[in-house]
Amino acid sequence: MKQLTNITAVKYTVLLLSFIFLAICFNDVLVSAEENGSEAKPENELVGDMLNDVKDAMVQHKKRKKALEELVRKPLTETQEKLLRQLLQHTGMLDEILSSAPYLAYLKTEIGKEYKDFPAYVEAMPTPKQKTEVLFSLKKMLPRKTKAEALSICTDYYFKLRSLLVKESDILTEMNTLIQFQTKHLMEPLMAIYPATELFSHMSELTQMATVTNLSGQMHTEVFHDVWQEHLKKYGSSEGLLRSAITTPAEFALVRSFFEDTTAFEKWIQPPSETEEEPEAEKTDR
Amino acid sequence: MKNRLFPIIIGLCFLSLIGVAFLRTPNPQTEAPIETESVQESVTPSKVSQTENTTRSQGTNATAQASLLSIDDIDMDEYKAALRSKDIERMKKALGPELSARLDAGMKFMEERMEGVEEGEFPDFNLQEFLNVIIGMDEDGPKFDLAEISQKAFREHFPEGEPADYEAEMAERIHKIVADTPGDFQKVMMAVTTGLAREQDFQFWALANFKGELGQQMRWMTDQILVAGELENIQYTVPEDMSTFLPTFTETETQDTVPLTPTPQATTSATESTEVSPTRSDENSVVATEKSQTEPPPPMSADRINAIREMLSQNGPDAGLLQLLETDTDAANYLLERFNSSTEIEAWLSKQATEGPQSRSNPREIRPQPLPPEVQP
Repeated sequence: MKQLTNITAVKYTVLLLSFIFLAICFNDVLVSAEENGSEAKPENELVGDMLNDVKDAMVQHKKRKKALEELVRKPLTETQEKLLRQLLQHTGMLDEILSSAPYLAYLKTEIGKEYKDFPAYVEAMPTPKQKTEVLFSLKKMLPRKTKAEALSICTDYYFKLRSLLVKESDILTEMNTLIQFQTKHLMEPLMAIYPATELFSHMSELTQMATVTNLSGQMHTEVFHDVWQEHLKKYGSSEGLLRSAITTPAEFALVRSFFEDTTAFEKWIQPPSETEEEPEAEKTDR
Repeated sequence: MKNRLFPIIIGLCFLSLIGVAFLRTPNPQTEAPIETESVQESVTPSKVSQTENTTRSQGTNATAQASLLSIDDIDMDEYKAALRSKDIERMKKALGPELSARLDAGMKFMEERMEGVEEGEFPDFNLQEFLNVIIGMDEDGPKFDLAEISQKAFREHFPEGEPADYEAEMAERIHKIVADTPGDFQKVMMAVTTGLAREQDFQFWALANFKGELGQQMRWMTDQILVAGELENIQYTVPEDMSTFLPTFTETETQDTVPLTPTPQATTSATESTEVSPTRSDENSVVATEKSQTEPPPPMSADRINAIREMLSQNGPDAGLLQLLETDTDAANYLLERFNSSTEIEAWLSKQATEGPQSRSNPREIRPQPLPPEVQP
C-alpha cells in the first residue's frame, strides 16, 4: 500500500497524538476518568477543544496566506509603473531614492500621512495604523472573549517576533531560544493580566494566542521575503528593491526598521548566493 | 529554513510550562472566587497537599503516581509568586532545574525524532521513549511503565478480552467516520484523528494495542480509512503531499460558519483593501448581535462614550485606540467589542459628527439607534 505522506503533516499528527497521551497521563485519567469531579471538564474534551482551536487557526492561516500571496504578487498598476520609471532615474542609496519627492508623494497617497523623508517613515515604524490593523486582525482570529489587554500584548509580541525572525532566522529551529523569547514577551505579560489561578482554565485561549500570533508573524515574514526575493531575481537588485518598496510600502518600511542600515536590510532580502556574489558595481549604482 | 511546526510545538511547550505547574493544584472551578492580590493566600501548601492526597488516595496506579512525584516537589506558592513577579529566572528556579531540564530534553527529543524522518516515512518513535525523557526516568527516578499503565487503563474500560479482540470494533468506528465524512483522503484523515481524539475508550484501546508505537497507529488508521473507502466505493488516494490535509478538512467544515478574512497585514495598501471582507463583517455583525443578547457589555454612560469619541477624534482612531489600551482598558474593550477596524471607528466618528448627538448610531447595531443600547432609556 502506498504510504507517501508529507512529513509536516505526519509530524503534526504525531504531535497531536503525543499531546493527547500526555494530557491523559498527566491528568490521571488513566487512573480514573471521573476522579476530577463532575464540574471538571473531561480532559479529552479539553484536548478536543484545543485541537479544534489549532485546526481553526491553521485553516485561517492557510487562507490568509493564500490571499496575501495573491495580493503581494499583483502586478504594478499604471501609476506604480510610472513611479517606478521615475525612481529608476534617481541615483544614490536606496534611502535617498525613496526620499525623493515622487515616492514621498506616493507614500502620502497610500498611507495618508506625509513624511519628510523615507528614514523618518522608517523611524515611525510600526505606525499606530499598523498596530491597530494587527490588533484587529488578531481579534478576528482569537476567541471573542479575548480581552483588549491580551490583544494588545499579542500585538506587541507580533512585532517583536517579526523583528526577531528577520534577524535570527535560525530561531525557527532553535526551540529553546524561541521558547525563551515567547516566555518573556508573551507569557509573562499574559500571566500578569490573567489571575494565576485561572490560567489553567484559559489554556485553550492562551494556546490560540500563541499559535495565531506565531503563525502570523512567520507567515508575513516569509511571504514578503519570498516575493521581494522574486523581485530581485527577476528585475535585478535595484529595480527589485524599488518594486518591493512600491508594491508594499508599509511592510517594506517596517522590515527595513528591523535593521540598523539599508545594507543589512538589502542583504537579508538577497537570495543567499546573490548576497555573496553581488557585484560591487551594482551596489554603487544605487 | 521554514518550519511550520514551530508554532504548534511552541504552543505545546507553552501549555506544558503552565499546565505542569497547575495540574496538581485545586481545580479553579471548585475554588471560591479569589482576588488577584490574594492568590498566594488562596492556595496554601496544606491545601495543595490535601487535594493531592485526596487525588492520590483515589488513584490506583502506583507508577503513575511515582511519575508525578517530582512535580509535587515544586513549591506552588513560590511558583505562583514567581509568575506574578514576572521574573523569568525566579520562575525557573521555582519550577526547579530538573523540570526545566526535562522540558528542554523533551523538546530536543521531539526535534531529533522528527528531523531524522525521510519523506514518505512515518516517524516511528515510541511514546515510552518520549515519556522517559519528559518524566526524567533514570535508575533512581520514578518509573512510568507505559505498557502497564496502558493495560490497566484498557482493562478499566474493557473488562473482558484483549486489545486485539476489539480491533474490529475500533475499525468500525473509523469506517463510520469515513462514511459520514465526504471529501478526499486528507479531509477524512483529519476527521478520523480529531473525531477519535474525543473518544477516551478508543485512546485507551489504542495505547494498549499499539503500546505507544505512534507510527504503527498511524499506519493502521490509514489502512482502515482506505479499507472503509473501498467498502463505500470510494477510491482514496493517499497524496504524496499532505501538507494541506489539515486546512482542507477544516476549511470545508467551517466555511459556512467561519468565513475567513484575507490577510489583515497592515503594511501594504493592497492588503489593507482586503482587511475586512463583507462576509466576515456580516458574520461579525451577527456575532456582535448574538453576543449583546447573551453577554451584555459593561454599562457605559453616554458621557463616557462621548469622552471616548472626543479622545478618538483628537488623536485619530489608531493612536486613540492604542492610547486607550494603555490608559482605559474598559473603553478599549468597548471599542473592540463593536468595531472590526479603525476604519469602522472612523466611520462611526464621522457619522456622529455629521448627524449630531440626537441621531448618533452604533455601527454595530442593525437598526439605527440614537445611542448604543446600554445608554438608551
